[in-house]
Amino acid sequence: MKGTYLGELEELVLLHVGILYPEAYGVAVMDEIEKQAGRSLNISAVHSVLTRLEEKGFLKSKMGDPTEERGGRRKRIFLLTASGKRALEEANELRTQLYSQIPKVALQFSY
Amino acid sequence: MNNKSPHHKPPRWADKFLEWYCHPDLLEEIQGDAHELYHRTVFQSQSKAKLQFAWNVVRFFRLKNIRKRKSRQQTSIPMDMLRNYFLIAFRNISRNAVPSSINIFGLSIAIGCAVTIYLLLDSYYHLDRLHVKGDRLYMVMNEVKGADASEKWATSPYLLGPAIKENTAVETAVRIEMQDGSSVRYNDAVFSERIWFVDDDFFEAFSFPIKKGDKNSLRDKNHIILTQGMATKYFGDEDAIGKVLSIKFITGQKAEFTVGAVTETISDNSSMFFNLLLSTEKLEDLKLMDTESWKTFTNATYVLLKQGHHPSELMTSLGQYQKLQRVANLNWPIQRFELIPMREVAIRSYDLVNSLSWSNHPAGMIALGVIATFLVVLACFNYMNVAVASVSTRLKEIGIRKVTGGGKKDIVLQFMIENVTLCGLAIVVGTALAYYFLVPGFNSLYPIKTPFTFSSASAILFFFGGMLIFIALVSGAYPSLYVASFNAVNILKGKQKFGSKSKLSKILLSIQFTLSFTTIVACLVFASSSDYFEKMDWGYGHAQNIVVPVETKEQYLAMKDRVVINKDIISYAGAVSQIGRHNGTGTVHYKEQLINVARFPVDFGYLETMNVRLKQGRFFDRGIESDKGESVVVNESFVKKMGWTEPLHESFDCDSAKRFVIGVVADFHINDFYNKVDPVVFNIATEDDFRYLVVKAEVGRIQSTLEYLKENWKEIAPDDPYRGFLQDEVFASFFQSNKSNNKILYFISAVALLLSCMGLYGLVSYNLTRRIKEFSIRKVFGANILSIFKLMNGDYMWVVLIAFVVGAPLGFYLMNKMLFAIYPYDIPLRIWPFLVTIAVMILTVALTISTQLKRVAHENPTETLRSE
Repeated sequence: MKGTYLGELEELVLLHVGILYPEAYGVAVMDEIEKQAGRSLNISAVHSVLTRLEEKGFLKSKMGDPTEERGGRRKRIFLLTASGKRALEEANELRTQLYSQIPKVALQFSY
Repeated sequence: MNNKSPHHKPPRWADKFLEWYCHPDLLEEIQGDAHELYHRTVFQSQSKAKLQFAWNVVRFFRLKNIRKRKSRQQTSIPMDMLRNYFLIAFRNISRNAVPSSINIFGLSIAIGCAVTIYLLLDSYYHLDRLHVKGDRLYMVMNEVKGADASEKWATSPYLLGPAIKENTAVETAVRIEMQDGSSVRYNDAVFSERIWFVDDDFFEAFSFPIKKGDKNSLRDKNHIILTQGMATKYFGDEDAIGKVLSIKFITGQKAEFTVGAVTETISDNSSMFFNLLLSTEKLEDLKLMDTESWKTFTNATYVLLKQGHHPSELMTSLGQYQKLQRVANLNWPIQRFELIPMREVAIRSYDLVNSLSWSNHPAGMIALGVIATFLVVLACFNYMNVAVASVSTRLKEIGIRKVTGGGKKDIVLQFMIENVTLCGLAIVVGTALAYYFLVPGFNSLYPIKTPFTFSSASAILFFFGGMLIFIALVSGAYPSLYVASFNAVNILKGKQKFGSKSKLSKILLSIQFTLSFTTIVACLVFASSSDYFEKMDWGYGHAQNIVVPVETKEQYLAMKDRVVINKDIISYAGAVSQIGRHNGTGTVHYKEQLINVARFPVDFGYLETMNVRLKQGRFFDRGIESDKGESVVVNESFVKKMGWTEPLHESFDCDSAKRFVIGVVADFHINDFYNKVDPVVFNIATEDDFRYLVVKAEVGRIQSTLEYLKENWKEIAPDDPYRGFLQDEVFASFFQSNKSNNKILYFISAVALLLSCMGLYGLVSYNLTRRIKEFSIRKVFGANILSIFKLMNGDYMWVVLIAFVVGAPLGFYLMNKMLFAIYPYDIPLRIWPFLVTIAVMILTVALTISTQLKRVAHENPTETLRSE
C-alpha cells in the first residue's frame, strides 16, 4: 500500500465513485466528471486513476454484469473502502479547516 | 459479439492491437469500456467513432496495462512442460511424415545452398588473412593516364620499392616481378615455369609458411625458394634443400640456383600464388629488364608500414616519385598513387590491371548472396504454407490445451518450439548436405577450393544462430500466432472455420513462384549468354591452327624445316605475338593523338594461315618491298577509332616511323569476351624476333600433326619443354568457367523450382484433405474428374500465371543488368529462356497437381463419406 496522499484528480475520481454507488465503472465515472465538474478526461486516464486508487486501498472492485453495448463484456464496478472513505473525510476536513483559517478580511472583495 | 448492428464494429486492427498488448486480467474491462464508448458515438458518426476508438486504444497503451501485476502473476513454465513440448514436436514430425519431410527437406536444401554460398562469400571476403602483418601491409596502386582514360594499375615503377624504404614510416618494401616462360631444368626434367623475383624481405612482409630451410636464403642471390608442389615436381620424394636447378631465362641467359627453402603449399585463403622465388638482385645482375629507369614497371610493390603509422604519411614522398616517373615515362604517366590494404587487394582486383591476386567480379558475388536469400525465403514460405494448412489436423489438440488451462502464450511457445526443433533439424541436415555434396561439388567446378571451415568462431555462431532465429521466426511466427488466437469453445464445438479463404497462403505462394521464376529466368538468360559465347564467331578461323611457341631463331628455323616437309600442313607462319595467347601492346601516333593498340608483328602469310578475314585492300605480299617495313594491316575497330572513311589512303606513326595502311581486316577477338575488341595493327617482323610458329593443318589431320610437331620438337630442342597448343584452346579457361557457372545456375534453378513445387504440393494436398468430403459428394452426384480438377486447382493456376508474368520480366531485367555490368557489349535477347521456363512451369505444376488428382480419382466416395 502506497502513501495515503490523495492527488487532486484522485480526490475527484474518488468522490465520483462515491456518488455513482453502486454503478461506478470507467465510462460512468468519466461521464459523471464531465457532467458535474465540467472536465473532460480520456477514458484511459480515468482507468489509470482508478487502478491507482485501488492499489492505494481506497477502492475495491468486483466484476459486474455484461451488457450488450460492451460486446458482452463485464464492467469492473468500483466501491469505496473504509480507508477510501477516511481519506475523503480527511481531505474534506483539511480543506474546511484550512479554509476556516483564512482571515475574513482576505475574503472581502469590495472593489 | 452477437451485436444488433453487426456492421458497426470498431476497427478490427485496433481491437486486435488492444487484445495483443493488454494484460489479460485487464482486457475485459478496458475493451468493454472502449466498445461502450464506440457504440455511443457510432450513432453520431461512424468515422468519428472509429477514430475515437483507435485513439482510446492508443491511450490505453500504458506500462501498467501491459505489464503483469505482481499480485496476479503466474510463475514461469515448468521444465516438464518444455520437455513435453519437445516430445510433442517430435511426435508430430514423425506422425505427419509427408508434410514434415517436405518441410525439412525443402528447408535443408535451401540451408545447404545458403551455407555453401555463405562459405564461398566468407572465404572470398576474408582472403589474405594469413599474413600476420597484414594490417600494416599495403599494395601500391597507380592511376595511369592511358591513351583514352585513366586506368588503375596494380603494377608500379620498379624503382619505387627501394625509394620508398627511405621514408621513416616504412618498415620495408617488397617488389614482385613476375616472368613467364623460363625453362627450369633438373637432370632430364624440363618445364616452362613462372618465376617471381622478389626483394629480400619478402618473408618479412608476407607470412607464407616455410616447410623446410631458411626463409632468408634469398639474401644470397644464387638461391631459389620453391613451393612444396614444385619441389615434388622436380625432386619427387627427395629432400629438395641444397639441390641445384638450372634455369634458362627468356633472354637466353642460363644460371644455376641452389634450393634454399621450401614453402608449404599455398593455402586457398591466399589470393596470390607463386611457384618459384628468386631475388631481384639476380634479376638486376642478369639484366633481364631495364632496372635502372623510372620508366620500368614491375608487377607489384608492397609496403610494410611501421606499427602505428598511417599510409597517408607516405603521400608527400610518393608525390616526388610521381614527378620522377612522369619525366621518365611519357607514354604512361602516373597521375595518382594509392595504398590499398592487403586485405582489400583481392576484393578490388577486378578493377585493377595486371593484379597478381585472383579476382571475382562483385556483381557475381552480390548475385550469389541474393540467390541464397531467395532460396531461404522460398523455403520459409513453404514452411508457413504447409504449417498453416497442417494446423487443420491439430485444432482439437489446441482446443484441449486451451480448455485445460493453456494460455495463448503457451500455445505460441509450443508452436515456436516445434518450429525451432524442425528448423534445427533442417540446419543439421542442410549443413550435412553442404558438407557432403554441395561444397565438394562446387569445388570440383572451380580451380579455387572453398574450404569447409569458417574464418572465425564468431562467424559460425553468428551464421547458424542468426539463421536459426531468422528461419524459426519468419516461418513460424504467422502459423503459431494464427493458431493460438482460436477460441477453444469454437474449436471443440467444431465451429471454428479454418482456412476456407486463406488469402495469405495464396499471396505467399505467388511471391514464392515469382521468386523462383525470377531465379529461373535469370539463370537461363545467363546460360543463354554463355551459349551465345560458345557459338560466337571469334572473327577468324581457328579450328585448324596449331601454335608452337619457340625460344630462339634457331629453334624457329629448325621447326620451320620440319613443317615444310609435312604434307598435312597447309601453311605456316612465324609471329612475335600470338592472337589470344600473347597480345602485344603498343601505341600509335596520329595527328597529335596517342592511341593504345594491340600489336602483332608477324610473318608473311600469317594472316592467311590464321584465316583472318580481309575487308578492304590486301594482305602482306612477299613480293612487294615496302611491305617489309612501312605497310600495316589494321582491323575495323582501328578504323572506327580513327574515324577514317577511306582507310587505305591513311597513314600514322608507329615505332617512330610512318606506316601506311594496305588492308583492313574484320574485327576478331584477341581477349576473352569480358573485353571489347581492341584496335589491332599487324606489321611484318623479321625471323629474329619470332616467338611462335603457327601452322594450319588439314582437316582431320590435326591430331597427327600435333604429334608430329611434338616429336620433332624433342629432337630440335631437348632442353626446352614442348608447349604447343591448339588455337581452339586459347579461351579454354573462359569457356570452362562459363560451363561451371552454368552448372551452378541450373542447379539453383532446379532447387528454386523444386522448393516452389513442394510448397504447391503441400498446399494442394491439404486443400484436398479438407475438401475430400465435398469432392466425394460431387463424385456421387456425377461430377467428372476434370470438373473436380478445375475446382481444386483453378486458383493455383492463376497464382502461378501471375507469378510468371511478374517474375519472368524481373529476372530478365536483373540478369541483363548484370550481364551489362560484366560484358562490354550487348548480348542479344533470346526467346528460349522464356519458352523453356514456361514449358518447365507447365510440366512441373501439372506433375505436382496430377499426383493429387490421382488421389481424388481413385478415392472411393463411400470410404470418405462413411465416417462422420
